[in-house]
Amino acid sequence: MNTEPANVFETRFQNRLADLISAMEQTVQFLRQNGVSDKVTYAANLAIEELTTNILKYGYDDSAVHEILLRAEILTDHLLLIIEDDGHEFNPLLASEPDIHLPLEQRAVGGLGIHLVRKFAEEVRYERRDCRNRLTVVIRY
Amino acid sequence: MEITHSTGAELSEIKLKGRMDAVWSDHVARALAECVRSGQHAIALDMAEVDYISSAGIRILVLYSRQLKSIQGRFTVINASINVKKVLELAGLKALLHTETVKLAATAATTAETTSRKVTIAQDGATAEVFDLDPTAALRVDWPGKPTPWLEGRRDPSTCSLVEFPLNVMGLGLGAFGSGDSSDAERFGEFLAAAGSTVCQPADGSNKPDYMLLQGALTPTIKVAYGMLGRGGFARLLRFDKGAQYPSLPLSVIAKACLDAVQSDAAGIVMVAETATLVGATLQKTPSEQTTGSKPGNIFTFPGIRDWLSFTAETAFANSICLTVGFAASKARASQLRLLKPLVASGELCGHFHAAAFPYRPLRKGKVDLRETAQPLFESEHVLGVLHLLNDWREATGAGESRFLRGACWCSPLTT
Repeated sequence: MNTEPANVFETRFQNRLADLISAMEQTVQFLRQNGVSDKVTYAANLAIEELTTNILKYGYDDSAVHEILLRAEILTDHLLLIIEDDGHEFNPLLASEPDIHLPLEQRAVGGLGIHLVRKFAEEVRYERRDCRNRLTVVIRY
Repeated sequence: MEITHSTGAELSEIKLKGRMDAVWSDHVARALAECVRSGQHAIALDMAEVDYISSAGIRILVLYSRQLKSIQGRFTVINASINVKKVLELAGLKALLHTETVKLAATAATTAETTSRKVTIAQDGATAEVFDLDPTAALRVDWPGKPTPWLEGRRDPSTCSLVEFPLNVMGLGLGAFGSGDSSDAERFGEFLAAAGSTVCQPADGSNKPDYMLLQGALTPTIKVAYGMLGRGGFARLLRFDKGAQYPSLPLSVIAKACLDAVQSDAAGIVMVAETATLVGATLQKTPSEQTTGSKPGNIFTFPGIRDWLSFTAETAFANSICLTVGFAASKARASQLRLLKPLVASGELCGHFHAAAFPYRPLRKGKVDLRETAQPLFESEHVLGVLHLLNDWREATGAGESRFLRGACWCSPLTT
């Protein structure tokens, strides 16, 4: 029996870039179909891409196939995104913030992804539970 | 993603349509790399129809903006969509959108001030420009060490000379880094030196070049078995470009253009150029008694030569950038200068060139300084290889000669 309300979308995909992109596209389509604004959809898209590509890049110690869970919940006043993976303990929020005031020549090219997610989202949380990493993103309408 | 490329006289425009995400950013990066490699250093990226950009896309914008700035080119994002604008603002990278155009005006002004003259070059469509550096400058040539024992296969360290390479000494030959201690005997190999940058590839079969740069009080020193040096400054700078008609320019044509530029029948040349292909050889072993066995003789005699040298099959170091050091002279003048060999089948032009290849990076246009151009090549800390350039002019089977796309040659007439 499916107890999930209609405004929830959940998908599981393997840790490959092509699968990640397709899961991201499905989520974006779901948000559009359910009347979520362009602004919020953009923020969700960016959060999913930045957080999941990070997991692909840094999350695993082996080259095996792993499953990543992606869930989007359209709630009354905000959108909730949940990303779960079974990689090693990895909290992307601990990464140091890039200094965005440096001139272009001295700017590091990495570290911008998480910075952007924080700017677009109201809240980003990390938890480690049952050997899984769980990222929760709150995007206010 | 749709990528449309249009080239104007002053500016290349790349128009993007679609998403600049983790997947498509790589495609954009390839289009930009191709544009820079074809010699276009001013690029405007039209992002009017890009509705999404992530950090993967921003990374590409920052990399190319930085690369083009480092060679006095320019990179700017035009017509950015609202989403692109907002993300770049949040990332603190509004500079990509605005200030670039202001700097362009400044660059254009300085370029216009330096005077140069256009010269013709013996290949249709190719262009060349000559800048005066120090019209009275010349290179005094000398030949340290003694080639005979080495070329006959007898290693003889007693005939070596220690040579220092400050800014005003250029040259090439067989040598080794180090103090002259006999323990570095195995490290002998072909070297080249210019403007305080020295590279030597030990002939131990490893094909791993070493290099030393002039830094502060440290002047690179090479124990030279034999070689040819030029001491002094450079009279002129020749900038050449293959043009649209042919895929590349051969070394002999460039060398001839250098002789013309300094109006002499012999010249010392230091070239930094984007490479189409290098044809040459690397020494795999240092000549010594054991390796020539019971038949001492000239090591360059076939088939013994195969033990000594590894020829580049066809197109070694395609798409690299290289630092080439050498000497060129007319046939008549070459007979009075040692170590010069025919560069073309007719024998009318002679020379001797060594080249060090580096990972590709674009070259700044206009009047550039030799040291400022050569030293950054070593920033990658990766010299791909050193070659003794040869022209294999056998018809049909020959590999031909080394060929270049565009570059800069600092040259001076030789005096003895």
